[in-house]
Amino acid sequence: MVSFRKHFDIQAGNYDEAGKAASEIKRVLKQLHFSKDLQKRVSVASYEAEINIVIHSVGGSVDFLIQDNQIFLQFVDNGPGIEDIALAMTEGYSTASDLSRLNGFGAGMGLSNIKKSADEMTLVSDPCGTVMKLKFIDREVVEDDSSQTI
Amino acid sequence: MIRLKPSDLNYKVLTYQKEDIVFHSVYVSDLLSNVLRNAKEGDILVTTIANLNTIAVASLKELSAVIFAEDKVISEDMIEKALEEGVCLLVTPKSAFQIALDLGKLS
Repeated sequence: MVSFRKHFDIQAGNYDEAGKAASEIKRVLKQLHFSKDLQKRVSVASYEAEINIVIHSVGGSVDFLIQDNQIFLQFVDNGPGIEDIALAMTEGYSTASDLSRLNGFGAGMGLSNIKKSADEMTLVSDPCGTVMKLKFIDREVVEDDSSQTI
Repeated sequence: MIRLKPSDLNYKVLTYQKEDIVFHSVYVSDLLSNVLRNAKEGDILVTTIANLNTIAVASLKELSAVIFAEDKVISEDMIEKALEEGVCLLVTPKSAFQIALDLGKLS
């Protein structure tokens, strides 16, 4: 069983550092020869989730875990929380600042991009903070496995 | 696959690229979430969003180059990061539309 684990802190408001965890995660996946499709999906979701913590929260972190052909990401921040998750998931709805728009984000696409990229997504939020769990399965590895068993 | 000789277009190359840029298609956007969602590996991105996030997104999506429209000011930090990540950067006073026309003529 392949297992790998890493933790990254994410600073609120620091646009220059945003994407560091996402690019490190991608580097590891590339090094371990995960499929291009998986690399792309995980990159997009982790970048968007990282940017969300930078834009909206007071700071947080991401835990990255690989277990065989499954990737788990857990983004945690310390508030202020998402008031209405259903509304936040709607494409185009945004509470982001002008600063985030100047940085090329804040158009209300992040959460739906994440949902589209991940195989599973759970989002729990209250004023204490937000926890987002994402799971990805490398389908090409699954296909390879099934062909071997036949 | 389309080949672009940086010198042909008279755009300023910021990352000392001398070889041809080989690209599949062109994606024009000022919204990085759309770039993350829709741009394909090997595309050229045309944008006016000039900050470190643009470079990070270009690197993640493995774009072949980023062309900044409207003479956007590109910081030393951006050039340094682009060189580290192997992202080719160009800048021109032209609008995104004019750049798309230039690139369209090549294809």
